[in-house]
Amino acid sequence: MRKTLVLALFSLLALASLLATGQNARADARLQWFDKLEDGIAEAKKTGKPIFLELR
Amino acid sequence: MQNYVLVRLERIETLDIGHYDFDPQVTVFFFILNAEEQIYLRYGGRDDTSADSHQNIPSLELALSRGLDQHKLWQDKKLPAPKREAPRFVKDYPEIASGPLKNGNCVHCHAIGSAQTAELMKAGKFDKKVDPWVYPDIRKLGITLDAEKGTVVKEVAGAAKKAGFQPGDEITHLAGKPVLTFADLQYQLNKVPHSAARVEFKVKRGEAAQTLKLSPEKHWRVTQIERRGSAQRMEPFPEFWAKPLSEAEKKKAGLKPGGFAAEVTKFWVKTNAQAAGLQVGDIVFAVDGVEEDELTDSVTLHIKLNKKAGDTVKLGILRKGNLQELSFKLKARPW
Repeated sequence: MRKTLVLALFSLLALASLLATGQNARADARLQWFDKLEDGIAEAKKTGKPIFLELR
Repeated sequence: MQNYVLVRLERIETLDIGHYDFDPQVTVFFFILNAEEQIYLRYGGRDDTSADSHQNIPSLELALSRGLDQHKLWQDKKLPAPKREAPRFVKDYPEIASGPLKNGNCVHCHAIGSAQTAELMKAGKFDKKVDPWVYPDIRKLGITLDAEKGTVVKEVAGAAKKAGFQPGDEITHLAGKPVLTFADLQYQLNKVPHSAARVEFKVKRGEAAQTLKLSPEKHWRVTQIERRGSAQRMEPFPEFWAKPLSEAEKKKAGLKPGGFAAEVTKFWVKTNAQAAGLQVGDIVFAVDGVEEDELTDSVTLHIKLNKKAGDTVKLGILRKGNLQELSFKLKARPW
C-alpha cells in the first residue's frame, strides 16, 4: 500500500514537471530564437532590431 | 523581447571571445548589440553569494529597456563604436584545442578561465599575487548594489563611504567607461589594476551627475576564487580536497582563530599526500608552519598560491586529537 502511494506520488510529480516543461516550451516557442549569431545578425539587418544574445 | 532579434548559443566554438569577452565562470551570460556587432551592454555576472545573485526580472527588464535606448542613439548616429578588441577563439587555447575540441565535446565556459591560466603559466607570465583575482566583487570597495536596479547603490561602507557615495546613487561610469548594468560594472571593474590608487566613478544623484574618486583598500580584488576554473588550474595540484572548519570547530580543536584549518574530505585521484599518510577526516591546520593567510581561508588555495610543482610541503595535521606532521612532494597536475 505504502509502495503504491509513493509510486503514485512520483507519477504525479513527473506529470506536473512534464506539464511545466511543456508550458515553458510553448512560451518560448512564441519567440523565435536563432542558434547562429550570423543568422541573428542577418535578421537584425533586415528588421532594424537590436540583438539579444544569450550564451549558455 | 519582441523588440529584439533573439540569439541563443549553446556552443561557443565560433564566437569571437576577444570581442564577446565575459566572466567565464557563469552558467549563462547575455549581450545586447546591433547588427554591426557593436555591444551596447552586458547582462549577467555574479558575486560570491550565488550564481544568480544579480539575475532577476526587474534588472533584466531594465537592461532590455536600456538596450533599446542605446539602439535608438545608434540609429540616430549618436553612439560611436569603440575600437574592437583583437579576435580570439576558444581554438586558440592549446588546452581547449587538444582537449574538448579535438574530442568533439562541448567547450564549457569555465574551461576558458582554466585555459587562460594554463596559457599564462606556460609562458611564465602568471603572477600568483595578481592574476588569480579576476572579476572582483564591488562589495570589497564598500558598495552594495540593489540587485533589482542594476547599478543603483543600496548600502555604502568603507572606501565608498569615504569617497562620498550615498545610498540611491546610480553608477553611470567607471574609469571613464559607461556602465548600464551590474555586468557592465563588473566588466569594467575587472580592468582596474590591483595597484590602482584611485578609481573614478560617475554617479547620478537625483538629477545631478557627480564624480567620486575612491581609494581602494589593500587586497580589494581578493575574493573567493576556489570555484573558478582559472584558480583550480593553477599549479601545483594541492593533492587533497578539504572543507574549512568553522570558527567554533577551530576553537573546539584548540586551533588558531582565523586560520585556514580544514578537514580532508576526499582524494579524487591517487596522490602523493595519501602515499605520505594523509587520510580523509584529518584536519590540516598548518602548511610549512604557517596557519593563516590574509588572501585566503582555504588551505588548498594557500598551497597553490605559495608553492610550485616539485616543492616539498610539510603539513601540520590533527588526527583524532593528536598532532602529526607529514611531508610530500607536490605535482603540477593531478594526473
